[in-house]
Amino acid sequence: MDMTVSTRAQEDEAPDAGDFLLWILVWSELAAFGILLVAFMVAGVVQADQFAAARLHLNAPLAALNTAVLLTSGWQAARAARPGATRGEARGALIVAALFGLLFVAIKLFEYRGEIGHTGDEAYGVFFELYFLLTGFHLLHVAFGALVLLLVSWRVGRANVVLITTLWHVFDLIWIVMFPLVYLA
Amino acid sequence: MTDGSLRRLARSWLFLLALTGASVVAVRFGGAAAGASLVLGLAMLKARLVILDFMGLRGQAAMSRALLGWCLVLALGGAAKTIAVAMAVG
Repeated sequence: MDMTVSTRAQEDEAPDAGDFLLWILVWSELAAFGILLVAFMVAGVVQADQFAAARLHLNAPLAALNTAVLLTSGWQAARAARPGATRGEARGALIVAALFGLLFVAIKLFEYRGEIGHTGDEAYGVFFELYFLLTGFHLLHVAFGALVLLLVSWRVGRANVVLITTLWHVFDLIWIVMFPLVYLA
Repeated sequence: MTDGSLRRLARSWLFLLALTGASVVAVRFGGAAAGASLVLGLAMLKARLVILDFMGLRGQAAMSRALLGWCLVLALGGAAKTIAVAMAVG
């Protein structure tokens, strides 16, 4: 009996922001996306004309809408992770965060429909290959993260909520930097 | 990990949406180089809000600075790229 209570208490104990493995995971994600973004920028200097021409085929307003969608999801994730949140509040906020994450995925896939035909076109250099690699890699993270948010909402535990919402904010952060570098700059 | 009140979180979210709208306006009405620089600056403001308010790292200077540093390095890279391309075009 005591053992069960103790185990539950340990499971519910929230890792603090210095949780070592969590931050290793965060920084490995940031390193991977950082390398891809630097490669995209370097290619953008080498093939400046092709990248400028290719960028005209991107749907920046739709990507801006998707930024708002992901930020809304991040807001809900932050609501779920705040210390004062009850299990019910956390569950509801996690579900809403996941739904907005899935909406991001749907909008992005719709956006891809108008862009996928440009891959392999020499007029655009390597723009679309790198674009799909970069944004597709991020999209997979968001899709997987949204499913984990739903999973955690089913079994709400403080440590799990902190872990997935921290990662979710990192996906948010990556998109915030990626959006102007890919679509606008 | 988040330490913000519900009101603070909602305020940050609204500010983030406003900054996203401002980015679109800056690109539409700003010049290429000026617009890009402004947009990257706005992205830094957004990143700061996410790190401090959504991630709740306001009290953890080392980690919040490191995360902001990651964003800043890439934003400066983007600005440098835009300037290099503008200079090459003449």
